[in-house]
Amino acid sequence: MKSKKHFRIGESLSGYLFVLPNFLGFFCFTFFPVLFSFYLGFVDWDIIKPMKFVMFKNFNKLMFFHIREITEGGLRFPWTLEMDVIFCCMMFVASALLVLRFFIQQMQYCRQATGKYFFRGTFNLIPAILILVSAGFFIRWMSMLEMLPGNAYNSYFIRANLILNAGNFLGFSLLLLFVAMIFSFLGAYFRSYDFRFEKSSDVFLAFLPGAVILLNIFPVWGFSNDIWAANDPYFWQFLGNTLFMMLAIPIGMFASLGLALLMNKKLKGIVFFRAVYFLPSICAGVALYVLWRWIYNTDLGLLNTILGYIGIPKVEWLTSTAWSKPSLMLMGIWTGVGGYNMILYLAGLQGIPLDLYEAADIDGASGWQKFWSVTWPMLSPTTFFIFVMSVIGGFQGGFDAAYIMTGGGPAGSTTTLSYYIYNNAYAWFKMGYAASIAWVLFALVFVVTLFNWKFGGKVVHY
Amino acid sequence: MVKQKTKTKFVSSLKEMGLLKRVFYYAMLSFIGITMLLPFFWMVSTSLKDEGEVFSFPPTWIPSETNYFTSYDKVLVNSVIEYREEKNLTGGIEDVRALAAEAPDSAEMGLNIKIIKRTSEVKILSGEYEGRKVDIDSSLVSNYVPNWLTPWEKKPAVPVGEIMKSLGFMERGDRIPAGFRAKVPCEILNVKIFVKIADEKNPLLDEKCWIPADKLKKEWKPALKWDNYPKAWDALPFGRAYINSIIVALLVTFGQAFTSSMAAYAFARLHFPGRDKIFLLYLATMMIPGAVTMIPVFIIMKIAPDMLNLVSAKIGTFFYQLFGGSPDVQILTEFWDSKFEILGHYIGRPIGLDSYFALIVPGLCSAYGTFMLRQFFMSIPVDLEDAAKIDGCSLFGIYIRIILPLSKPALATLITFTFMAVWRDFMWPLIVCSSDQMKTLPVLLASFQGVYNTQYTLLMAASLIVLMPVILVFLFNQRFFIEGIQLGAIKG
Repeated sequence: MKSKKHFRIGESLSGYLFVLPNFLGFFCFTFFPVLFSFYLGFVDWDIIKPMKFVMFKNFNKLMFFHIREITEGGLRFPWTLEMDVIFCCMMFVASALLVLRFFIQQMQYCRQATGKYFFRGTFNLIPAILILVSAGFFIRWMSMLEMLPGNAYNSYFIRANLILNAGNFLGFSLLLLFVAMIFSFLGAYFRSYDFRFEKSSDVFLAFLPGAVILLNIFPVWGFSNDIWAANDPYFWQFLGNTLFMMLAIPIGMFASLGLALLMNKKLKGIVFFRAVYFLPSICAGVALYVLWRWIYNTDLGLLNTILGYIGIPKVEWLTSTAWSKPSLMLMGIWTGVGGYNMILYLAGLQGIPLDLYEAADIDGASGWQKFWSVTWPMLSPTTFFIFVMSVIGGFQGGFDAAYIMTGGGPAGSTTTLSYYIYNNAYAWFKMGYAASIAWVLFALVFVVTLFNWKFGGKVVHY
Repeated sequence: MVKQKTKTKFVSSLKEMGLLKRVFYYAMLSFIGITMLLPFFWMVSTSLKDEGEVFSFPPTWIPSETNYFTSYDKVLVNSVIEYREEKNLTGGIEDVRALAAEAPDSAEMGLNIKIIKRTSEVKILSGEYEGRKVDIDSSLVSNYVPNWLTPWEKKPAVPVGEIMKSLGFMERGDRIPAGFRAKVPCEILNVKIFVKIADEKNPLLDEKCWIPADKLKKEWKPALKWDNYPKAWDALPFGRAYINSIIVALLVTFGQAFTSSMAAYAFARLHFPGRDKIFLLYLATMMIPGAVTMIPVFIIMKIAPDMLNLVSAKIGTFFYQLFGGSPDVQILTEFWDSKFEILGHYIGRPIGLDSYFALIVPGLCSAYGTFMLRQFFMSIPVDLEDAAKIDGCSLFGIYIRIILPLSKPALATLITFTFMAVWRDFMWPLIVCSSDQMKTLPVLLASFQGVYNTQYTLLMAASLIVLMPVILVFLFNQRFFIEGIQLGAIKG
């Protein structure tokens, strides 16, 4: 029971006045834009023409797939629309029940014994039966087909295509159901600190609806190139680019850690070295990107000259699709090795108490073992923090370097998602589409951070 | 047992490590240091090079110029050194040509020998001058077919007129009468190739020939082309970009420090309805990537001038009609869309894209700063404030006199990070600025690269111009930077 708070008028007024300038700016330039961009995701707009509300078209185009023109073959199996509807309804009901299950379970947490059999009967048995029946249905259907790509899958894919690509509500409701399932599960996990799976079957049942829905929407067994075509292949390519370039994060982290270990000695002049290593990090920006573009020059650049001294032939750093991403990653690692991460690691290293090492010495641990069992666990909070921050930044970054060094890369090989957003919004003025990409990016960052936060918390020793 | 002071073991002192280990460590550190510094050295080196030297292969490390000049002092024109090649030749013109091809020809082989003429010493086999040996130019010694029944048998022959010329019966330049163009069979005894060879006394400077590099004297001297920097500075308005960057960074930093600290104080200490909900809102939007908010703010900035023009026009019309103007007159204004100029310098628009407003105002409030400062303020003991309140201090006075001075480290960190982030910010000024005068330093450098794409010397000079203040500030304040980060790490 919350007690009624009595707010003093003077203090409240002062409070509002203090907050006012910040809140004004926040409202105009953060809060309102967030809502507006969410709305933009559902429209087609290029500022000049009037807005056109197309509900899910942007997200459809962004994420989903469509069937290519299938020129030969036809329906081999008399799959009708009624079976389709029945199938979808069964899946819908099963998924809904499984989602409800977790809500109710969380509400009923205190009352363990009440309604146990009813609960299990409704929320475990019926979904299981429905899913098994529909699975059997599906298996029987599959066994009667000849597995020829482009022919026998027509009906199945046409159904999926109709569900998803018409921009209608049913397809999205299935997806939202899946998302709601994830969130309800996570919500239960967050709110009740003791929540855990009671039985091993619960794990299976928790993820089953989502898996079945996804399997219906993206059939893995039929996922061949000559049937499906991405609505926007560029999105997937650029997402792959972003994820690939985020591989530089662990490499950079380990490099910084190594450097910190090296620097953690009271040698004379170590402060000088620390300053030298920090220099690239502080100069980070456009000037360094311009410099590295010159360094990566195929004929006259520094790197190829040095490689020429060793005897390695010239590498086309920025002009070949194979090397453009690694070269950007290398530059990123060079810039960040001696920077903030190293300083954080140094601070962390200096906080490790001495007795742990002494205990390790008593136990007869070698240097390597000491690192893995003493240093690394004690540094895990720092590592975790750096990793989470870097991942968040890595999803959204990559624009500056790609814009200046490669302009998107040969054949789009260095374009990241933020560059794609930039192009869509400010070069091609497709505001709606850009907003939808930005929101998908946000969803990705959110999910990954959530994942990191919960499952990383188990790894970190405090 | 006395508790030992916990000190990290790895921080060993200089004397404990053996010499070898010390050397190894210094070598490693130096190697990594060189790796860090080498690109900067390359940048400086390139920026001081001459335009053509950049494209020389292999690339030179120190900007220099190499002057080539011959070590020969004098020129003797028309000196000829005969170079004899004596061979027994039975063949015809092909042998002559082969021999001539063997001889060094300066134009083709790059040696300091030039062929002036090739003559064949031939012995006339028939005719009036039978048995005489004359020197005829090799190109005039041609084949003829003695027996039309065996056309593959060719024999060398020489025109009579040439024989007469070389024997002195005709002067050079006389027209050879038609009859004397007839050819006389001959036998080639040897071929003389007259060449000019350049040596110490006879540099072939007046002749077009190549002088090999090892015969020439090279003078290498470092030539630092300092005027690349003024050229780069003048090419695009860097001074203006500096001013823009400084103004924007200062104003944004000050604005953020001011507004964030005030709001953080309110969130930390004051109670008002909705305080926690608003703060939760701040936290929720902190996770949202910048790309999401940038698009609508860009749209707002783009539409703002037109909207304001419309609104001002309506207000103006309303007041005009209110004070008795005729109802047909419509007041129009283009004020908000216009471009300002002071003393001939383009200041930008009052609002909208390509204005200082768009560069500064969206960055004035930050949720991160508020959050960080709120955490810090909550750690300041309340008793200080209570004591101040007892003494009759107002809330704003508490804020200014107590909280702000106590939070100097956190404020300093916030200001540093904000300043650096705004100084380096690339995407937002890129979107907003379209004219060179309004661009900040990073954007101006990017457009410099767009224009002077392959003039690497100017490009590197411009990069160094942009980097110089950062490097200087860092060099003088490095301890401050590094310790600020450590403070942030320990606190956070």
